[in-house]
Amino acid sequence: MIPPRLTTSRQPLRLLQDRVATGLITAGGVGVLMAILAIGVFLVWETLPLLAIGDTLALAKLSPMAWGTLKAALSALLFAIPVALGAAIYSALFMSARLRSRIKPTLEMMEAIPGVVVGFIAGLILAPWVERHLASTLVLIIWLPLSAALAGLLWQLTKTRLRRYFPLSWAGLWLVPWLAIMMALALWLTPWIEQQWLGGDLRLLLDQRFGIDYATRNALIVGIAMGFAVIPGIYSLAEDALADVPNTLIEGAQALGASRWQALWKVALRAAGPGVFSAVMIGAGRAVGETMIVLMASGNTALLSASPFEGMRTLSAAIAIELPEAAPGGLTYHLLILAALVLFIFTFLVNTLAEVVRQRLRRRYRQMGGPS
Amino acid sequence: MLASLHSANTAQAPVTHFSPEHCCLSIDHFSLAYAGKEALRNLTLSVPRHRVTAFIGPSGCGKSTLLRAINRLHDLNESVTHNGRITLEGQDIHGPHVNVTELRRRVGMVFQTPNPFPMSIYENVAFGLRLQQRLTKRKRDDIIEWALTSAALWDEVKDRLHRSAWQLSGGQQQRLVIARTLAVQPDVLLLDEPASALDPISTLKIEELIRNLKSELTLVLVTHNMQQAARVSDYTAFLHQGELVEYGPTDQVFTNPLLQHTENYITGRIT
Amino acid sequence: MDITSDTHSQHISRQFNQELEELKTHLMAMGGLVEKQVQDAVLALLEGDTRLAEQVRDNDRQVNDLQLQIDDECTRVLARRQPAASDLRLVVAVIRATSDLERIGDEASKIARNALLLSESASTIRGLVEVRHISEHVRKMLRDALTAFARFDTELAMQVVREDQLVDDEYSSAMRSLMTFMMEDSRSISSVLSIMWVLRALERVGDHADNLAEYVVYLVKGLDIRHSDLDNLDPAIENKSEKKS
Repeated sequence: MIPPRLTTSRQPLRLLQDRVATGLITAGGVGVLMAILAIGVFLVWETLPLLAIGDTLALAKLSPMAWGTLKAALSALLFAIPVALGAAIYSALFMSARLRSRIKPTLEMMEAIPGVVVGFIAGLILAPWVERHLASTLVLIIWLPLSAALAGLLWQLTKTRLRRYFPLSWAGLWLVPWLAIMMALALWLTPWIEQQWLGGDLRLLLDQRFGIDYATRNALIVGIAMGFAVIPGIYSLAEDALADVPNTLIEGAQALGASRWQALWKVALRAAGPGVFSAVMIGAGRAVGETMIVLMASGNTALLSASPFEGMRTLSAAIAIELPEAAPGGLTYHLLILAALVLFIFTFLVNTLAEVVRQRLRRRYRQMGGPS
Repeated sequence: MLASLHSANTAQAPVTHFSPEHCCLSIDHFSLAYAGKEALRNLTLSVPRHRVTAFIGPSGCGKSTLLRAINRLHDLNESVTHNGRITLEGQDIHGPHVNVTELRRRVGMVFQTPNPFPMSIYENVAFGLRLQQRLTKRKRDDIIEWALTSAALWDEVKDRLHRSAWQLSGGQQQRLVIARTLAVQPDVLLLDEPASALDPISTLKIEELIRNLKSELTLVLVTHNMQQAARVSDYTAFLHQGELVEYGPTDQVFTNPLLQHTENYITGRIT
Repeated sequence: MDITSDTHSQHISRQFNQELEELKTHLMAMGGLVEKQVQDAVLALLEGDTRLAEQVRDNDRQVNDLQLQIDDECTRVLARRQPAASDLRLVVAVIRATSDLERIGDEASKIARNALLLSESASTIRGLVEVRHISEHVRKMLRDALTAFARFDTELAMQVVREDQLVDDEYSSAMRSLMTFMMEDSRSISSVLSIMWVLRALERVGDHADNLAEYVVYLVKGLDIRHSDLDNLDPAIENKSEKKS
């Protein structure tokens, strides 16, 4: 069968269309690059006067805020990384395919929640509640992971017949009621614990015994709220990286006698390592740049403190609050621009690092002949 | 001599049997199902020691499934159920006191696509060793050199043991995987279409390797390439839709099979 | 396993099917040609037809060409198709058969040569009766062997194998009577010798027909019965019972 001959008369028009499209796309790309460059140049330009003034005291004003940015980001990552990576490992490597197809999109939808909403809930609802139930919060933070581990231990010890009703691949579902029960238990028991051992009021105890001050809006709240906002991003990318690890690699490790966990840890995580690292970096980038959550949940106190119970002031929040009112050309104005420049450079570095690592990963996979 | 190992087969009983002292693996009325759907039906055959046994058959006949059952890879799939026995050197592999990790050390497996780990060549071969026991570095180095030599790869990689395994060619990667499996000194080596993803020359090298390994190990080979089965194996089993159709010396199966069904498959006729 | 002539009809590769069919067809053609050669040579001898004898000797070239052609085809099939089981046995059987058929052709040539020699002799020729008898016997054997090959008929083939013994006996007794004749009349020695060569050639044709029959058994049952003792043969073939489907 000879295929019908293509007419050549439409060729010049198609070539023209091709060229126009290519031109537009290139213009777009160049335009974006130009815009980024322009922002960078603007920021540098506007901070130059500061060098002339040379007011190191003013610069010293920035360091608590820089520290605040780092503290907020670290608190968020401290909370988000274990949760997101744990979810990603379970979702990619253990979860049943049907469950995964429902849960993954739902988790990714979490990313769509506006920061303002998260910040609002954190500042106006979560913060007061935690202040009133500090002991419960701390107990929950410790008890929930422990109870999940306990569930794992019990599962390990049960006989095979019972295990068939609670397969590992559906643990995402049947752990929920277990954790809910454990949570209720913790909340019920904590006041009693507080009464018996902590002298009735944990906050008072902390203040009197250890001299630790408690601010309503503090790093703990910011950590939980911003962590919550950053989890979907890290989860999504890490999960993709882990799911991309060819199943044959894991099977190969198991065929050599590795247990499931050994195969995961030594082979799968190693293979997905760069992808997971990249995911964490992108999460960190987001945490550093996040403004609204921090604005509403951190109390905006510019302190250089390491305590999780103290507030902070971040560069991004400072810019958001003060720049609209700063007189153009004034010291505050230039300082804030400097703050923006620092943020810009930091996020730029973090994202570039993440992208470079991802490129290396792609090259490696192409070498192996896997999907690129 | 080959002939002394087995009793003669006839068309009434087209399955060769081996006496216990020659038999390494024994599969006894073994059935397996994936979520209720039968994949293997009542299979009975025995695999002789220090020989190459090939499983052939059309796609979906259960040859890979049977292979994976021998090192209990199906344990990881929760929807799999099975009946019957498989014994390795007289021991039931599903017995209550059997250590699955130890079983998988004794029964090594090589897969269709080479799957070297994302580590250096050295680390790949050392992987199984590190899992099993603590060894001094010198002892480990010795075993790794031995394994790579047995897999006919040592000369090609001895200068770059610490480079990534992913830099090797497909044929080299597959030999690396074989070396990795040999390092833990298994009794049986299962090969699931080991050369189907490789070019013809690498394929021949792998076949040569299989022939050389016969003196140390028992090998079971699954292949859809019948000429390969004819070239490499001593005994051939023909499976169809989860059942064992015929099992006998390779020379006999390929020159004068006992059953019409086998004949049709081997000569490429539709039944 | 017993194969039937239908077994070859259902290859997934139709071209392979065709190649095997052609092999058989060409072999049968060669067999037919050779059969005719023997018939013509004997006829030329019995009727003193020198023209026919010359024709037989010329046609031998055709027989040789056919052998080369079929052998070449077989080699190509082996190289290209790597046949297995019954297909492999068919190709091997055809290669062996062409060799025997070519030799039969040579024997026919010899008979024709002797026919030419005898036509020059004036006196009556003795032994023609024996020649006619044995030639008919042997021609039937050849025809049956070729039919058995075409039809994959092992029973017919075994009949041919058993016949060879009878032909050998006939040949021995014919030789004895001719020798007696030679001793009686010394003038007839040269013509009797020619007749003896002819009888020997015919006996050889019988042997080759016997070989062809053995190839049929190999092809169908996978049993190589060359050099086997006739007494052990039948039980061995019975044991190779029908292949189950």
